[in-house]
Amino acid sequence: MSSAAGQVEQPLLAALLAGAEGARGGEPGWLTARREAALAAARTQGLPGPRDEEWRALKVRPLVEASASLGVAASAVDASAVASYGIPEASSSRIVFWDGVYRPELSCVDGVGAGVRVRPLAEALGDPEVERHLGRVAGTPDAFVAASTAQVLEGAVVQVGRDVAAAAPIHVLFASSGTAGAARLARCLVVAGMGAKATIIEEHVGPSSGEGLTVGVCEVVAGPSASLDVIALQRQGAGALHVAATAAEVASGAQVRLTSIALGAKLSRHHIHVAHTGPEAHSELWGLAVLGEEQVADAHTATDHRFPRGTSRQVHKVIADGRSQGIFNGKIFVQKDAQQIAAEQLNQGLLLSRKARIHAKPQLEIWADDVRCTHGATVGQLDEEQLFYLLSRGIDAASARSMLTYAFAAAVAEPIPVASVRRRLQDHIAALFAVEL
Amino acid sequence: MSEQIQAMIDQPYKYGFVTDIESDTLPPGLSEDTIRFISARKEEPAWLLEWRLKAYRHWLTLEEPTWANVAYPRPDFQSIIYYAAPKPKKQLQSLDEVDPQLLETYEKLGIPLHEQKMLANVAVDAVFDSVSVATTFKKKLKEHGVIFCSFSEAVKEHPELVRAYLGSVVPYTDNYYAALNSAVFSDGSFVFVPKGVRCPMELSTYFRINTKDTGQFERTLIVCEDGAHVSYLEGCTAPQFDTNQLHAAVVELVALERAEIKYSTVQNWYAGDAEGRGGIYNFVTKRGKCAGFRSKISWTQVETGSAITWKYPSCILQGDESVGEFYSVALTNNLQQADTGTKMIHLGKNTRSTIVSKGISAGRSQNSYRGLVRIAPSADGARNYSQCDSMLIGDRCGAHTFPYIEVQNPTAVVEHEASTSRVGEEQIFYLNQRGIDTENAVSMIINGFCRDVFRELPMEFAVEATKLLGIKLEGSVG
Repeated sequence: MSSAAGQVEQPLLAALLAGAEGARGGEPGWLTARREAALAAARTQGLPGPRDEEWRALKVRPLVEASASLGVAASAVDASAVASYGIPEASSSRIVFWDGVYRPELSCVDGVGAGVRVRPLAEALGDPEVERHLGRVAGTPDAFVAASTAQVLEGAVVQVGRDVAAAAPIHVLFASSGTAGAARLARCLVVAGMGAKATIIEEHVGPSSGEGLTVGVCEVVAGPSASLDVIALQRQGAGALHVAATAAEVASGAQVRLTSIALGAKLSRHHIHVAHTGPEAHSELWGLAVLGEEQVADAHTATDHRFPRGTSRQVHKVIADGRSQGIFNGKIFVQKDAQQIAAEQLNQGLLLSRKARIHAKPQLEIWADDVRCTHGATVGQLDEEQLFYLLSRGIDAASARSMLTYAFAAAVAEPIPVASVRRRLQDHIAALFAVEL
Repeated sequence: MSEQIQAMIDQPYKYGFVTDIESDTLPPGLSEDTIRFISARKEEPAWLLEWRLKAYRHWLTLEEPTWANVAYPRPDFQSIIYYAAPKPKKQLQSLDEVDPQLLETYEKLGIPLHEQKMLANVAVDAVFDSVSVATTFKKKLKEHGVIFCSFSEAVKEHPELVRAYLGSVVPYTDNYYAALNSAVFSDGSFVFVPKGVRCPMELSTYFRINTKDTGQFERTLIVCEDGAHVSYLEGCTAPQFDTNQLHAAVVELVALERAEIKYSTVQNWYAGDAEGRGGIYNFVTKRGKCAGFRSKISWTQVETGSAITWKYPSCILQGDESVGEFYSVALTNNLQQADTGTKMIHLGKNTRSTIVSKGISAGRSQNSYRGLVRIAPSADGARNYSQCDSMLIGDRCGAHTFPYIEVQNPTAVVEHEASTSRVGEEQIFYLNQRGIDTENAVSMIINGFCRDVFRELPMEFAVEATKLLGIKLEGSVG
């Protein structure tokens, strides 16, 4: 990654790593070792620079030169705001963090069903599964993820036992006060045993005028034949910076669907890495960014086919209005002995204004020959004929544009298995055009 | 059979060069003195020397780029000989003296007898006198006002044209190898088609007899004035050998209002042996500027040779309603590496571009498509369609695509499609069933895969290119 470390002072990195050295009282030895390794990696890599290929289209300056620190005192919990973030389907299967800190009084996990455990990290450190996976799945692809692991203290751990189907969708809510100058860490580990089934909504949300930096890391391990639906929903405030990484391992015969929805934040980045760790694995990546004003959203994804007979599918959509910028980089790797792979990728951009921009870089890297890999990318605008059709049926222009825009997003939004999350997306798009759908 | 051809391809060019008198060859190394020497030998005007020196000084400040998906030992720029007077090749008396294996390859390519002689450096006899043909051609071109000569000649006879357009598309600051080329370029071609003229024939370096050995730092400049049209062919399908390992050419095209330039390349430089030793590094900067309203530039390339191919023939679509096209077949075998593609920079309104790229990887080769489509805020109504398909033959090769799409205008429509697959067993089975052996079946399938590109090649090139792919892939299937 960047070679900037050591040459240039990086105050943000120093702030993110402050106090990470040494063992903490009561923490197991493996965690100390893992944190120290991550700390070293973060220092070696340094924060990404503008010439870093992985961060190229994004203007990283506002991010890496932001001043945010972990030491800013947490403000009082806004219980009514947290209540408004609630998902009715997950009213008794949610775990809530306020500015990165676990809030037992706001959480309720009674309804997750037998064989499912949803706990804060501090209570799960003795669990061998946590020891096996925490920090290992995500690795240290960049200094943000490394810093998150170096500091890891708080977080959600979701475990679904062998052949267990979770009784309700699990809502992991990282709510923020939106305090300016504050940095927050949001960490989540999901482990699904053999044949397990669950839907997890990992939500990052803040007040509409919220500021500050959130660094999110979510690790997902799907055991053999498990089936997981993970929806990462980002609704940070208009002044917020959001850097998130999701890393998933998909074992033999397992299916993982990852949906990434970016609606908020001034600047957001979601780095998704999916590795197939056994044959016949299937993964899907669904992405949607709805951007306006000066927003920038960057989605970098990679699907790594390491074993034969796997399939993967990806659909990523970007809607850019105002002076916003949508960035997409989707990589598909097919490793040397991973034969009989079918991988599809589709990336579509919709530009709604003259000042909006879209950067797309779909990428295939193939080292095996018996494969069928395709990717497609399009960038365009709303179809005049479709608009005309709706207008001719007496629908006003704003509603027509709103309908067509939602229709564009529908391919990603509609398959989300939680009705109230879908509804929220619809409302968000309708609000852009100031209409009721 | 395939071993024989491989052996033929592998052998060094053995039709000895005549050694020059010492004063005509510079010792290896690069400095300002080298550049002054080159410029003086070529009797260049002061402004050109100044330009070369500026390029050299800029080059010194640059670092060699490493971003391409290719791996090779860094060239030692001080061990290269930057100037050697043209080396006349020894002429053979008849085709009987030519290596029979070489002739066999020509036969397979379907190269006509007179061309075989020319390629094999046989003195051309009365049956087909290429010198006189070339002379006839030159006369005809002159009647139409078309200038087609070597770069050095152009500098002497048309300095105002060269000065006006040299570096206008690829400035010496463009990149590492373009800067190096600008400093030390040896020779190349110059084409100027005046206003309203449709060049009466396809131009090819092949007929530019006085500059057979243009060396490793070739510079080509093609200018089409308003309404002019030219089709230019570079290279040939026959295997080409060269003692210079590094080739860093620059090609600049300028199309003014309603002008059209079609540039076709067939590249079959020595690719190194089966273990990847030797072989040409082909690091080329090719770019065209559609400067005028409704101008058009079309690049067609068939890249089968070189150990490393690293080039992106590009179009700057500046004029409103201008059109850029890129059709490419890149084939890599053994340990060859190719990182090639195009850039389409849309600046003008209603500009259109089409990209069709077909990559074929065999053996242990690595084949990458890397392309950029940029729609600037000013490019209202711009349209791009890109298609890049890769085919893998064998399980030890790699195929990669790195398309960059940057859209800054909502009225633009950009479409990109890519696929990677292998030659289907069912397709081969179907052809086998109809009595076609596997090698021919694969050849047919590959040609079908490349058809969209071959269709863009001038007729005789298309026929040879089809056969060329067959020869290059012999022994890699089955």
